[in-house]
Amino acid sequence: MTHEADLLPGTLDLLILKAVSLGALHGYGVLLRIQQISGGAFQIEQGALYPALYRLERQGLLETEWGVSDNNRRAKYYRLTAAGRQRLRKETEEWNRTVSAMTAALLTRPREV
Amino acid sequence: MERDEFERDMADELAFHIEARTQDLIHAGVPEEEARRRARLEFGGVTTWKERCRETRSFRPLDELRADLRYAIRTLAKSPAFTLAAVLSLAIGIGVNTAIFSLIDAFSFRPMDVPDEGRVTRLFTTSPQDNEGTFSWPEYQEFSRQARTFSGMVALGGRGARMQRPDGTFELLLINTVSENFFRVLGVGAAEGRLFPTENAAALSEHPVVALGYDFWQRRYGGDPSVVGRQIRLEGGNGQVLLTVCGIVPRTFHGIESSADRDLWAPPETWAALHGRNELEDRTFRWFVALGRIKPGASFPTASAEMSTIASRLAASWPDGNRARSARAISDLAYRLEKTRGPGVVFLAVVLLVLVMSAVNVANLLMARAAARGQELSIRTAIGANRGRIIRQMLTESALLGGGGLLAGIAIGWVLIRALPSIIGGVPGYQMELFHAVLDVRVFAFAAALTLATTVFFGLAPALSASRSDLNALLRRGGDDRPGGRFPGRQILVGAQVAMSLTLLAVTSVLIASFVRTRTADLGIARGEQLALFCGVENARQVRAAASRLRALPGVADVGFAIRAPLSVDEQGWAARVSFPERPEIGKDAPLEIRYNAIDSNFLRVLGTPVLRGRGFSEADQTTGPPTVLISQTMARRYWPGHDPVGATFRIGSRGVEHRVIGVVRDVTFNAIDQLPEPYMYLPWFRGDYGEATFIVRTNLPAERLADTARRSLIGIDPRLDPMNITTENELIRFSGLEHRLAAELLSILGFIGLALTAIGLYGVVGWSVTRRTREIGIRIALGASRRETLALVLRQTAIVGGVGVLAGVPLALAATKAVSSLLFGTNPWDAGMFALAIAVLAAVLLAAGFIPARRARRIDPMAALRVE
Repeated sequence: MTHEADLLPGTLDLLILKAVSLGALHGYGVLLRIQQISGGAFQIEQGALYPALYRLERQGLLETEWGVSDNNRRAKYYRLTAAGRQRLRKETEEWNRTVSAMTAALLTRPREV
Repeated sequence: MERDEFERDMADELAFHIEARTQDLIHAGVPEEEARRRARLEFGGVTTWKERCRETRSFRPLDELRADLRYAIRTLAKSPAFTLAAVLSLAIGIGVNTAIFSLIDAFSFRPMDVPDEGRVTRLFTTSPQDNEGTFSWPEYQEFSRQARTFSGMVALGGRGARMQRPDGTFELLLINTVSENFFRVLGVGAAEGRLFPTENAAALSEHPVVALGYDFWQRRYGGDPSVVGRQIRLEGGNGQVLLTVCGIVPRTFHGIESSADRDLWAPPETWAALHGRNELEDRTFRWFVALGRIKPGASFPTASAEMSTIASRLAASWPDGNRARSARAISDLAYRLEKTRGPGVVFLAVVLLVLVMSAVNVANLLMARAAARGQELSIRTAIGANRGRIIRQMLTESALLGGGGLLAGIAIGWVLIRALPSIIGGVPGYQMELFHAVLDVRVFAFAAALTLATTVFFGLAPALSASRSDLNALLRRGGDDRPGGRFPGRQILVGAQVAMSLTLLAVTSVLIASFVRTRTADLGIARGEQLALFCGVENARQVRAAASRLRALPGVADVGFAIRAPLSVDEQGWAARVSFPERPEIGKDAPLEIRYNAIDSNFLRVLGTPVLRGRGFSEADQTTGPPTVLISQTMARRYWPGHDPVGATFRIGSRGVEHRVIGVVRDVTFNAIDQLPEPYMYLPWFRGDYGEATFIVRTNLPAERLADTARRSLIGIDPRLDPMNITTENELIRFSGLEHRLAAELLSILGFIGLALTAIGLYGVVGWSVTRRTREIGIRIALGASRRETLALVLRQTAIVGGVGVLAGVPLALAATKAVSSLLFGTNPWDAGMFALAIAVLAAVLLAAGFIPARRARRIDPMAALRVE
């Protein structure tokens, strides 16, 4: 498990928004989807997912609905709201900006200064 | 409920997650048991995550408050001893202090309930012997007419008149005869009707009016407003007179002295209709208290100077009655302060002391609890509870504690203010309330604010300490009890409490000693069962018949009578002008007046007062022959130093009738128990025209058991002989010592409370430190310390805190008892025995408070103790 990275602060929210943007999911489903789309790269303490989900719901970025899971159990499904979709887009842009800036910064060689 | 639904959904959701994960693991080939365990492990602490989830939602304030309240009640219920001690400390601080202060206030320095009290002035006539003399009606009229610095001057004289009860017996009513302008000048409006329709003075003498005191109105007429305008029949010296009820005096106004209520209020015309004009026209019969209201801008010294100017004019125009008399004015507030400064300040200081002690106690308890809860709070912080939330919860808890204390305080105060006056007792024989005490709102607010602020401050401390504020550092330092601990804050608080408690105990014990002295002091009379019946009498035949009828009652040993009984509750008694023709230097500057009692031949024998020289009155002295007089030993010593006065003569009364001294009588305390002996005379009752007699009935039964039979036999002779006042000599002695008793009783209550608070405080500190030191004590025991050594270890802490407190307390206590010496009767304020007793009591209580936790320490199981941390 040592190859799994700890999440950077704030990135869990972004991952959740991304995961949910691909279709309504229950909490466990969100976990599975994140592991799937990240190739299992992140160490996520599973319980930590829920406060984040609740917070995003509270902020109006997610909406919830009780439904039935694949194995016929009652489960709560999360879906992206319009605000959530907008937030995802914005956060993604910011993330990309940060990453390219960081990449550029880290690739700098002595002569280029 | 929304909140329950939220909780249920959240629980379901998390459970679904773990279950789904378990199933996935099982599918992946993990055995079921192991799958379950791993799913839970991967999820992490469910409680923690739930708490985090909850935090994302902010509930409606009401829900949150409800949750906090539930939490607070649960926590408080978990430690009932702490909760009880804290609530009790608060309740005592608030309730007892307020009640006792209110009583003292009602008894001594509450101002009159009139508008602009600050301008009300006490007026006195003065003579070389008397700095607080009263006024005759003509004197009052002169001062009132001539004074310019006053916007009004009023007079009040308290006397009595009889009113027939429906059953035919008579009741003595107390009448305040007041100047017509009395209520107008003081600014007191009527509760019903009018407080004297004064626009037509002539009408007042043709149709005399009377106003009813509020309590009398309630008692006799059930508060029926239609009594206004009706006529009531009173009997005075002039026979029966019909008076029209013109109004009701409001409940809040009790006259000049708040302690004494009067049944009726009447203008002088009404008094004249009842008793004739003699007592209103006599220039030297000074039975009126006078008050003034000074004009805006006028000062009290100016007013006082004007009074003395008018007095000197009166002395010039009426030299016979007013020679060497002057007059003065003093603000009513200043007068009350002057009267009560000593005791008042002492009581205030003690009340404040107990208040501080209860606040310290609450602080102490809460700090002990804070230390105990440090662990709980750090755990809660660690699992993610947010700090604001914890502070809110602690605040709720403190508020609950404070609210409980406040309610209990109100209850205690309410009960005490009703119960205490009857415990302390009223004026014997009179159906009147000594106290019109109500809980003082200001004191209540002050006590409540102080204790509640303490509760909130120290209740919040543990929550704030979770954030490592300065307060935290303070608490941690204060909480460090281990050897080498830096700042033993709580011990200092308890040490201070011990010192305060010692002070309180010392003051209490000298006051109790002084009170006991008033009970055993030599009053010049034999203490025993003596009934005193005060009656108005018509003539000598009637009084003889009454005495012999009383003597014939079963259980009666002896009967005598006089115009007044020793220590009876009224003015200072009768006094007469005395002169010595062959020694003109006596009474040269001012007429000499000496108090006297008119007695029958048995009176001194019944009282048990010995005639030291010469003889007592014979029947012949009472009726025929040259006038004779008995004098007190102090009078003999003062006017015949070194000589035997028996056989000497001097003149008595304004007509200067020569009297021969036939005997010298032991000094009797006639006026107040703590008064020094003064010159006193006894005249034969039958040679004067006194119109009243107090029968003293010595009995071998408990005196009060005789009261009813005695009264009925007097009514049997004449319904008018119905005693105005029946009491026992013991009651009078008890009442005369009232100030001492009041001081002793109220202060012992406070002293006891202080002691209890100290015990609770010390118990809390030692108990808490045993808890803190459980591990250390366990190691000591494991290393072979005997149980006795362990006990000694803990008790040593008590001894140190107590010892330091006592040492600090001794100088405080010495200063305090010195300060109360004005309240003491024949007792040394620095009585070593009393101090030793106070220290012993305190030590015993402290040891007991330290012993309980010490025993717990002794029982510590070393193994269990080591596992604790």
